[in-house]
Amino acid sequence: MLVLTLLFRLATLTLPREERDRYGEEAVETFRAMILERRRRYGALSAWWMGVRGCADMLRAAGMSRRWRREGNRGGVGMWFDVRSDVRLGVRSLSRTPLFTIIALVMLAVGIGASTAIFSVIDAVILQPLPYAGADRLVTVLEGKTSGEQGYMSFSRPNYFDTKARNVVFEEFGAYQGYSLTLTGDGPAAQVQGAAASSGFFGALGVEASLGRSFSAEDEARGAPADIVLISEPLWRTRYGSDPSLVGRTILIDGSARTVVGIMPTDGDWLDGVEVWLPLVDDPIWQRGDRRMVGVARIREGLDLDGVRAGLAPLATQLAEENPTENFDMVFNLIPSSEWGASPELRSGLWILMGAVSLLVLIACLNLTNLLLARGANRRRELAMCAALGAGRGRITRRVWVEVALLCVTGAALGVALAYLGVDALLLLQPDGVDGVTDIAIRPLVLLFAGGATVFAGLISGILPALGTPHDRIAPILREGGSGSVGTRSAGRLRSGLVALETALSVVLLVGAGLLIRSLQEVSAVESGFQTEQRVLFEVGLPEQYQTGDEAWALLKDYLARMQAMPEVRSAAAVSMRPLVGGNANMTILPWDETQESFGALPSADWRLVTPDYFRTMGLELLRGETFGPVMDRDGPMEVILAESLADRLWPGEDPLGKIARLWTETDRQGLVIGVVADMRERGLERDPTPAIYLSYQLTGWTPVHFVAHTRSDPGTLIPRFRSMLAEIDPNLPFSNVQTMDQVVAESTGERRFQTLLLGIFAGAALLLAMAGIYGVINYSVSQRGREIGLRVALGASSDTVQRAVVREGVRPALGGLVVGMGAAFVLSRLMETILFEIPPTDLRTYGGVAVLLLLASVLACWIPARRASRIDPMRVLRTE
Amino acid sequence: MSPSRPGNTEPRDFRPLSHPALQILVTLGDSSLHGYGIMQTLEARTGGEEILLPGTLYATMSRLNRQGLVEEVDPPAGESSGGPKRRYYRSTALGRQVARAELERMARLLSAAEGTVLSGETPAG
Repeated sequence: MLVLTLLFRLATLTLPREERDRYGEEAVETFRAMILERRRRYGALSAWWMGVRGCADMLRAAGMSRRWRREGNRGGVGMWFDVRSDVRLGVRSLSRTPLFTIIALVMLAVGIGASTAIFSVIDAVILQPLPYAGADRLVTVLEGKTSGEQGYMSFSRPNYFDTKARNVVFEEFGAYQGYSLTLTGDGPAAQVQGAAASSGFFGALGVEASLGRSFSAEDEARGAPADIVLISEPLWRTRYGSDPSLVGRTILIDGSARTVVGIMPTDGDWLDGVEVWLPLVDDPIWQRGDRRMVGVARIREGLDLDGVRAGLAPLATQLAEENPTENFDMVFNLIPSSEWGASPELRSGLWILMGAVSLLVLIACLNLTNLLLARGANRRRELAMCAALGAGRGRITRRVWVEVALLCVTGAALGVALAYLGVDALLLLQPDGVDGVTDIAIRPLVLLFAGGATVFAGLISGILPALGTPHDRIAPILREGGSGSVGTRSAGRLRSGLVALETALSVVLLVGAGLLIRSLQEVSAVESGFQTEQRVLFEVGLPEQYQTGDEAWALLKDYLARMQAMPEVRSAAAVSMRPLVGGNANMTILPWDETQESFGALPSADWRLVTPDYFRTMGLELLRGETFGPVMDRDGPMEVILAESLADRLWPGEDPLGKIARLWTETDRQGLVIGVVADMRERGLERDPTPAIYLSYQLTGWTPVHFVAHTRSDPGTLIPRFRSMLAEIDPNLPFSNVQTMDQVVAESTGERRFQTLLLGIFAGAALLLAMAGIYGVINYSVSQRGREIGLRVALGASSDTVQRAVVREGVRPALGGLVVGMGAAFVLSRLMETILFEIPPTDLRTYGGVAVLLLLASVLACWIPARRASRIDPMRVLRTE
Repeated sequence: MSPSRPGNTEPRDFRPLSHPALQILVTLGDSSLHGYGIMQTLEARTGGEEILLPGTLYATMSRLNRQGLVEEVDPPAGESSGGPKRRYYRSTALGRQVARAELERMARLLSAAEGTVLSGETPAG
């Protein structure tokens, strides 16, 4: 209601001053009383409707008042009716020039549509508030070290329980750990996304079970049975047919029976995607150095982030003193909830796209200005005639504004319709690699943005044409012939200037797109270390009976042997983390005879369990030593294989074979280096090669297992056979997540390709608009100067000379724009630095390419008018004079 | 001939009276009401058929005031709504004459219509 009252108050500003002073306040009071009464009696909807009508009525009445004051009462025709007649005139005049109207509408629709679509993404990813009450007090809490390479580390369970018990800064503090679980019974075996969560986790987020209950503090106390489970709403719907009696029943998870105690909603980060929740029970079995949890906390009222950091610092020191091996140099790291959802890269990428699309809108507006100016020049006589017949300046200017408004409103309506389609297209185009962009929609805020963009577009494109309407010096306009030349030269210069500006803006966009395309090239050319051709990956979850080393190893050996026996399979292997898209498992590592102090810093390595043929299957070169043997020696030190960069880091300039490493530095486990393999960019193609350490899968039954097969033919066709072979071994093993290595790579670069594609489309559109602008100006100039060109031809100018002159005229503003645009791009491209890969923002090849492209495009745009000019028949031109 | 010229007192000169002006004069009658009271009374008396919105009400009121058809009066003694002090309006003698003249004109029109458009046919729908 406040909004309505505000709108009404704004509307009263249109009243003539005397009436506004006298009745304005009273009218607002009356309006307020009216809509409040309306709401009380008929509900909010009716009140809104009445309010909107009231605002419209105020505008109309104000128009009438002005009219009465000006002209006395002549039957109650108000300004409103004048505007209506202007609208009628405008529609008629626009429909008389359909080509102009269509071009203008298309430009506006594309500009407003594209910017609205991009804004809808920004709205969904960045602006939409989190679905949690008081989300500004939510933070992610992680461990970290003041030294070494690990800024952000997960929590270990003992550290979590200690922090929860002793901290004084959090109202609620919970922890979360995701893993993959196997669900059996009630249908086929399924691999589900599971997570262990504490009661504090749901408490901090303020999320409650939609049926039954969530976890309580008793469920996680030491010695609690840990035999309960929560199920997500989607899993409840699809697997259990929304049966409310599921609460209280037992289901089989990883082979053990658990009682379902509640159904959880899934909206919001954290909850999204998790299908099964297990309680997080305090158990002495968990090691303090085993960090796998993420903390989520609700800050106490009145504390800010700095306050929380200050409050946690003594606790970190205390925990470090109590457990010097595991917790040395411990700090707490906080991530505020405003940074959840979208990574900083995605955020800056989106804002860059928004900037790009705003430039596109600006270019469209400049083009529209140019079109309107040309149209105005053709209509000077018509408008001058109106002035001569007594229309005031205001009336004539108003006609221009009404036409602009008609174009903008219609263009915006088309644009919003386009944006609706565009959002669907974005969702289709959106590769798997872009997370959190699933709830893009045209929300009220997005519509408000579209409205703002429309008003902006109207003001920008209307101002020059409105200023240029004839009001004085009418006589010369009326005296001159059909196409006059009064003011043509300065008008021509103005229009050339606009085209130059337009070109400059499109150069900025082209440079931006060019830099991204070059980055994408660089990313694609990066030495990944592994091969992707004819390689396929799939995932198998291991239920509890396989999770003790030997059972799992027997299963892997049996299954891999069957796969390798197939003639189509070159080799097959298993790994504990999917390359590129899988998570991370880190360990700290040192040469055995070094300490952290003597070595300087504590290197961190990503560890993976692999079967012996993994390196061969991935095409990863074994540089020295050998891979794991078929039988592991369980008595000696653990055999390990290092990536080259890690080996160099630990023993620079020495032969690492036979050396002993201290693994998980706080546990003193020994690792014997038996081989060195080439580096592989497993954390992503754009990241440095991964300092990886490979261990044998014989150690433990890590689930889920990722199988890789290198095949002789299209790997996709073999999947059904891989699946049935697995079922022959054990029908209860869930087989899922099939991807070729090519798909994995594509997914890992999805965000970048998406961004490049969008910016490329905008830049292409900008180039087309700039070309249209150049074409329009030159075409108009040629049509205005027919007589001059005819004379030149009559005086002996060849058609080549004429063509060259016209092209020169067109290229001149383009050149000016190019120079200005390059300068602007040079400055603005620095903003893109974070999303460029191995390309400086001043990349010469990009700038050169853009310059050539733009010059070619501008010559092309002048081509048709130039040809037309060269064909002007001097006799006809001279005769018509 | 401008009806807003001071000293003009012939009811005929105000013809045709705009609809909102007639609504206000008829609603006021002999009583004095504040702005919102006029809107409520009109709506109540016509069962919601006729309504006035604040914009039209005050724009018209301003003109009626200038033309001398309506005047502002002190609030009645019992007024104690608690809120900001409201202005009350009542018709002047001229205002009542003008309203009466307009209603008579309409009555004549109505009786002229008897037996023609009003009989027999009913509007479609």
